[in-house]
Amino acid sequence: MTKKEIFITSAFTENSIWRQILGICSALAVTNLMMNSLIMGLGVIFSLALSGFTISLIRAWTPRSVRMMVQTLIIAAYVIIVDIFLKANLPAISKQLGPYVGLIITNCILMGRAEAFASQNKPFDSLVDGVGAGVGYTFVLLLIGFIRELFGFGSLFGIRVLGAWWTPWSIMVMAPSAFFILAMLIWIINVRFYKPKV
Amino acid sequence: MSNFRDSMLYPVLFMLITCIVFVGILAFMYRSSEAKIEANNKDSYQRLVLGLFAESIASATETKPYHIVNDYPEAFPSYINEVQLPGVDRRTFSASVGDSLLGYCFDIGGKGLWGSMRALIVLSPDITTLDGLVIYDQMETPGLGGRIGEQWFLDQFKKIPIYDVVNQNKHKLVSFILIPEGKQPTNSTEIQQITGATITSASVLKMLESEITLIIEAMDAQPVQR
Amino acid sequence: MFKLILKQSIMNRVLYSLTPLLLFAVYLFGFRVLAVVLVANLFGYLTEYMFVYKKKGGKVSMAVFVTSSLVAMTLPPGIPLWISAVAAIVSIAFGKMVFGGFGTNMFNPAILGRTFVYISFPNQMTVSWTKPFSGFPGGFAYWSGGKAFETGATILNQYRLGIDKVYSFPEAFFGFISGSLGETSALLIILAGIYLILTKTAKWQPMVGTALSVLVFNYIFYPGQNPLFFLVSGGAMFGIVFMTTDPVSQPKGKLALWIYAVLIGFLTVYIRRFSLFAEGFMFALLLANSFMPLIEYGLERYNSKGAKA
Repeated sequence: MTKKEIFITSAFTENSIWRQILGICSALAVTNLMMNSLIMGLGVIFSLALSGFTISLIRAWTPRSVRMMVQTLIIAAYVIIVDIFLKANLPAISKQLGPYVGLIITNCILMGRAEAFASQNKPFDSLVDGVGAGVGYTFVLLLIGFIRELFGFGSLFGIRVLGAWWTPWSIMVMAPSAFFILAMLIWIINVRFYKPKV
Repeated sequence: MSNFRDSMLYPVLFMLITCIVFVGILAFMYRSSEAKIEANNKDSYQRLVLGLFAESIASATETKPYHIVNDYPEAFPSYINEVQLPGVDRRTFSASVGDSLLGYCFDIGGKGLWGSMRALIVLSPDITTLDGLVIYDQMETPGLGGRIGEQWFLDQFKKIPIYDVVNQNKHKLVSFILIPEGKQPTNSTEIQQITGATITSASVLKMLESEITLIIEAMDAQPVQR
Repeated sequence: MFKLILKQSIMNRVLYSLTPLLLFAVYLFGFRVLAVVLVANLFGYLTEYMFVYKKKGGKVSMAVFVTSSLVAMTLPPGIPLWISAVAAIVSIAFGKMVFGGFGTNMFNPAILGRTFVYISFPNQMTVSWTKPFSGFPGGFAYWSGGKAFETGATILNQYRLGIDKVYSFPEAFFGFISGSLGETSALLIILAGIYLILTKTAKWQPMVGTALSVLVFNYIFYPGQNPLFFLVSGGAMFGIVFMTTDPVSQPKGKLALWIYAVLIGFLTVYIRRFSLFAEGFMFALLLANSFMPLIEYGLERYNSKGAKA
């Protein structure tokens, strides 16, 4: 596979959220504002790409018996780096995202990509795969965030797009709305782009 | 070599080395940005304190409030001091322009619906009026209780006499009354509650009442500038 | 277009039983009430039509009109018309069609739509209530209660805020009170319930069971208060007669029905007493709905074991 194919596969055709139903927890929790979704997505892209790269780099020397521990350690290290970076440079957003940045560690997508791809492929392929999976994840987050912020606040990225006449829908601000928006999204995408298995 | 890689020791050593490397990197990262993180926290906190006093400082110095807030790095040290009032164990700041004292700011805390909340309040120098409130840490439901952070809600807590002026009772604190959101209050003790978040609104009031009582009692016990 | 409607005589009878309630709502709150109900029906119909028009032999079921009317009648009279439309769309789309259409829905669609708008628009749904008209000709001479519009607390709100009672028991029973469109008059609702039972449109167990359970738990949670007062106030009566009896979402089997009824009664009072929300009936019904498959399954297992032994 070329790098481009790897990217397309992991970002869209085998998207972590709508094909593998991974990483749902954070997709529900942080998507009430588009800005939060974007920052969360960037954090995941960064951790995914670099952890994939690192895991792939040392895969030849990693003993099979401890590989999961090593993977978790590497993922955790990158996630904490993201967390520290946000705290130091974007304190307002770090406060809003709260514990969810730290919880990227437990995001199934990272472990999934590490096991499924990075531990068996070349470092740069893994990097591309990580970026791809992260972009796919961010894309879904932004979609959900778009709907939730538009209905819940009448704004996009904090900029008011709907006038004062708009009545905000409180349910869109709360986590339950993400459940049915995500479900609808998965439904529509599966119906439109994937043929049912016969 | 291949013997060594099959031995029990190899995975342990490998794990150890990876741990040392990554923990080392993290420790370095953390150390290098630790100061910045602290400064950030301190910054945002001090900005809040300054913001609460902005109006009164501005009127005393004949400028506009936003000049004071924009001028934060200069303004904070020149007008605000951290002080220790005898008997009060809350973090306290005082604001003064020249020799005239503008008020005190106390760091208070209370319980919300889901968890604790922290707030700053401003009291007049003679501790008779509540001059401002800002809630800087809370865990209420976003969009419902979380709206206690909104400006219109906080702005209701300005220029409220703490004592029961109606009954001329100098020892009785006013008690706030919640009224529905959007209804015009008829006097300063009526506070518009947040729709759908009665418990959160009430707990803000409860926090205010109990903390102000504490501060007054502590200061009454001490023979200070009253 | 109307040839596409699937005729269901049971649903017709529910609609007949709703008519007196609707007329009474017009008397109390003016003709705007009809607009609220019509908008809900129109959008409910269109929603189901969107789902079925592509399918071969797809027909819009008569149940759409029942669901839409029911959801509209749980809204306050001053509600903006677009919220009525949203409630109907959510009821039909999320309450029914995503589960596979008529007969396969797990939750009561009308109450699901109502809950959605209740959580989304707390201001419009709970803050201001229209004061009802009285005397002759009442609301029949007005478009809406706009002239008399002011904040009138409902009975349940009064209890929560500790305000003295504004309405007496007879007023609440006969329905000359402010409240949502269809739920004000306990008397008319009871008559509608009797009609539904006599025509074998609805089962009597869930109605009687839930009513009894609401009474008993009110007696436990609010000692010293008249439990009947709670039964006739809020949406409980309306829900008991029209929602718990929904043949699709209610459980199958007599014992399961009784458990269902007791559970709803308990949860309604429990939520009213201890939660943030003034009205607990809709949450109670949805919760009971979601537990019913489990309870039915458990009962089935238990019965088959008993038969073997």
